[in-house]
Amino acid sequence: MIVKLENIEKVYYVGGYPIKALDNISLKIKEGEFLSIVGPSGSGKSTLLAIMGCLDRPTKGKVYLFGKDISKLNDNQLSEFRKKYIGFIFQQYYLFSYLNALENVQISLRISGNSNLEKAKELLNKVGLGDRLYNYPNQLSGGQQQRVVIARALAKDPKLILADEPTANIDEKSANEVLDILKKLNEDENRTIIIVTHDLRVAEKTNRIVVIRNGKILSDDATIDETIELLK
Amino acid sequence: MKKFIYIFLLILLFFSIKSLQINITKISPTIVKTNSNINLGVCIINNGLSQASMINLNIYYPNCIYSNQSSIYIPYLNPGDSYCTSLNLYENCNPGSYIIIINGTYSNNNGVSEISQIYPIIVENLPYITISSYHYSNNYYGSIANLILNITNYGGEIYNVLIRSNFSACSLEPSSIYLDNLSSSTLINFQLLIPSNYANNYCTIPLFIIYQDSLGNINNYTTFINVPILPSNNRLEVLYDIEYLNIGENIINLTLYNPTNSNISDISLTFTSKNISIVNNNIYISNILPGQKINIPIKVIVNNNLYGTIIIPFNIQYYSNSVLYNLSGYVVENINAYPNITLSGLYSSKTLTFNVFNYGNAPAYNMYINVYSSDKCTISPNQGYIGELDPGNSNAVIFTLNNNCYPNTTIYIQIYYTDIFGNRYSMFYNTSLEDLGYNIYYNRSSENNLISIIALILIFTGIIYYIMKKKKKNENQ
Repeated sequence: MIVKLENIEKVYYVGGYPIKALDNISLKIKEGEFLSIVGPSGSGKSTLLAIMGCLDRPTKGKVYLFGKDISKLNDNQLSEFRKKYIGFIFQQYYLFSYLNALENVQISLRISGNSNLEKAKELLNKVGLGDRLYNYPNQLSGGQQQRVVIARALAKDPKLILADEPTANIDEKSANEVLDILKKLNEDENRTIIIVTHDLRVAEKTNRIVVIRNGKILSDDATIDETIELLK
Repeated sequence: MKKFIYIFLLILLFFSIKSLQINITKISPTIVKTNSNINLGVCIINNGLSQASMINLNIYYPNCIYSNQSSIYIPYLNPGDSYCTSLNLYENCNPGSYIIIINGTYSNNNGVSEISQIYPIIVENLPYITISSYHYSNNYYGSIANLILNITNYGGEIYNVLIRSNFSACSLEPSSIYLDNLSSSTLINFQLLIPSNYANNYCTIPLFIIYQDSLGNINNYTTFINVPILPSNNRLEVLYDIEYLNIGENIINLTLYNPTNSNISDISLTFTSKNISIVNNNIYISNILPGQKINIPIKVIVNNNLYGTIIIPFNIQYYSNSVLYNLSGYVVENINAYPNITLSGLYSSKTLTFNVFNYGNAPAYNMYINVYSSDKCTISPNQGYIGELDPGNSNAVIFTLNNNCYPNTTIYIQIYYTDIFGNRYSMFYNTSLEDLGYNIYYNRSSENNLISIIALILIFTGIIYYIMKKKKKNENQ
């Protein structure tokens, strides 16, 4: 089990009142799954992703990643764990505008301690940008920039990739290309990929759909029709 | 022995290195209505022992939150230094919980490290409840009137709605009605029991609506329903306006109206209030002509222990066509009294004590105090519950500080409470610990610095020991 959540609760104390962002969430994700977490805006899906990605801690419950109970890790250890094992893809690209695609990936390789900078070319080839190595972000389309972000996430060689609305800012054709790359990474390299989305067209492409609403899991393996019904 | 010293030194050095950390802190309210501007304060503090450089942070917003700042770059930050910036955001989110992720990297002599911080934004569509209209029939003295209320919520959906009235003069039947939820308008039916000897020409019924909002908070809304009572022959009517009375002396303008075709004579009016003093009680009026209105200013003194809504009962006797009438009625008024909350704090090396005073004239309800810091200083618990704080009373809340709290550490204090009318208040303070006033002298050196100094002394001692040992060995050879 690459991710195991047990009775996760996330409470924010706001204005003196406890507000539950996540309510008694339990979820098991096996290594090599290609899964989406679907829910309306504000349903707590990004909070759930942040907890799975060691960006935040739950108020209650246990989080096991790669079989390890991460609640026992301190902030530094958590940060190291994240750096080593988890790749993030967000809807915003945030590439260095003054570095070209190759350099943007190389800088991530340096951060993860990999001195083989040639690997950046290999990663960009993998996401179909072998002919755009020296293009700067403003010379790339939104979809191409998101592919650089995927290559950048792969620099760590993560077993687990967490994507928060990765296709929200790009057109449908580019979105399909990004999803195809993620699917290929899952199928060919057995990387576990978890996508948070409110777009059912994205969810439809994944192998398992988890539906979340008001901080609660309504189904942990829904079909697309069941998902539509649950989110009505 | 030598091996033991080396291992010990290595452990100490390891701790010194691990103490390097950068924190991102947040200072802003996190609960907003839809379509709000949000100001978010972000501070990056180098609590480590070495310089942090190339601090590059990206800010990831949800789809419905917009900002013109997406990243923060700081070339370097020396130990103990901090960099603060504020983010101006605009959101048009649906109600729910959202997070902003601040994530990035920095370099120091320990290599490249990652940092991240989550900032929750809770968007709530606040309810707006009103009695939009009401209809009545058969509203005569001594009858059971039908009353239909159209209760409307123009804001976010509310749940577990209880509409009740405990007014005994003109009583509602049933005394409370429960609704599972309320998202728009709904009609509710009551019966209104109007006593035959009721003096007022209106039934003024206080209504309390208690509900749970979308975030689970229990709130209440208070309003009045005025149902006119149809005139009947030989009845005197008592008219007045519902106002806010101040603590001290006030005038309530009462009007006696003769709607009949006959003279009303020998009118005596007596208030029977126990908790409010009436200066000109026991009023006598010899005659009121048909159709005449007489204004009587009633001088009342409100003591400073009164608050909320008060009911002043009265009796009235008069003769009409030589028949003695004996009626009773009520004057319903609000007291203009509110809590007035002040705070004082005391700081010692390990504890932080806040005394919360209510200098006002009315109690504060559901009071919480949140205390947090902008850096590594951890305050626990981060919330204290005070509950009800009556006027003239105080309550102390004690928090524990960890070893990273220094006199110049800034702390942020938020107090939340509601008044008797259900209005919600919040107060926000920020201050350094030393400005609170402290009773124990606090030495600024931190635990981490202390470990480093001990480590350096031991390293130095170890080196001297090693050189001397080597020198002795050489001499022996």
